[in-house]
Amino acid sequence: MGKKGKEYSGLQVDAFSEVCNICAGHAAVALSKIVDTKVEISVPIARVLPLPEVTEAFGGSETLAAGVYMRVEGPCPGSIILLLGRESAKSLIEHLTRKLDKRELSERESLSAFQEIGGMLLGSYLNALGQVTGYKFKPLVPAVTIDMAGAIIGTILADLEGIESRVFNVETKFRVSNEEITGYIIMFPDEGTLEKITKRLGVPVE
Amino acid sequence: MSETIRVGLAEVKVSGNSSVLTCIGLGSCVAVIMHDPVAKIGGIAHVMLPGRAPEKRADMPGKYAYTAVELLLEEMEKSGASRERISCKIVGGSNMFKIQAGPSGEVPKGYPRSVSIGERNVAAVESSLREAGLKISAEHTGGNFGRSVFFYVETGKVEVTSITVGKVVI
Repeated sequence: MGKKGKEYSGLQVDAFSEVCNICAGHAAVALSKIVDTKVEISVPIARVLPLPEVTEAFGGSETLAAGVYMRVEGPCPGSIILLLGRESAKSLIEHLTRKLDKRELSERESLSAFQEIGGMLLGSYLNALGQVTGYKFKPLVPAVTIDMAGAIIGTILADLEGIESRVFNVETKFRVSNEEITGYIIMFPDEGTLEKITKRLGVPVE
Repeated sequence: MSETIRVGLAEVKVSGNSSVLTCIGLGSCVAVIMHDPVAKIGGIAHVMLPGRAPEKRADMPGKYAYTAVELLLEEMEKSGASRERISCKIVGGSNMFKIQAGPSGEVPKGYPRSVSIGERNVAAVESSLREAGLKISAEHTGGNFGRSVFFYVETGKVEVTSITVGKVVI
């Protein structure tokens, strides 16, 4: 993407999306163990977005959202984020405190709990990614925030290497059954990462 | 009727009287706002990164502080603004992620660079405006919260909204 006019082949995008699907499946299992309920995931959507439009793409720039973000280093760098609407994040934490029969958490404790959960989900996503591809994915410390979705996404894009005017990403939507909890896991590979992973999977480079 | 023009990531837009230029959801990004009150011309650059656009990637000059300021100034002058009359305001540059800073306020190891990119963006924008000989008349920067900007070109009024501090006019 960074290189002008460069496009991925349909096969590359499909293969990468399929890998993300497997990873999201693992993350969903982890979440379902945490909340003790079924978690459904959507078919992943792969998109190439012009930079100015990226912040608008996940529920609107001004939507209040809670995000846990991990920058991934290693041979296949990229960025990954768990993004929930603020109400969904709140329901998730309430669900957990109910389950654990704990008193109500302070805002700080809630944020920290959310960061932990996010870290676990993204961790299992990356773990699966490592197993499928044989590459090592080294996540940095998860960072957490609650704010406008556009401000969160805009900030994490600053970490992408080699990505200039267009951004490739794969998003998977999930929903916790019987609860009003929905959210996204969004993967933003750096330049070169998609090629490396799909090559490892045997997809020919055009 | 006023026309609302959205300035997305890395975009630079200039417009005339009666328009409202906006950036919705600025995190670590910085909105550089220029205004010529006489010609009633205004513009915003939505800066994402400090530094300047590498030459081989000159297709996104607005992404980087120095090249964005140069481009915005050029576009302002092209539209009839006069450099002597231009006043600047800057908004944004927050450090969005809540992290435990080290004893002297530094970012501990193991965090991505985006956790402190907001303040570096602000510093780069300030220095590029200084280099261009332009003065900053007002700013609303830093903190750890996102902002939206509404810039009324006719009056030069800039409204900053955020979840944390509500609406502020600068």
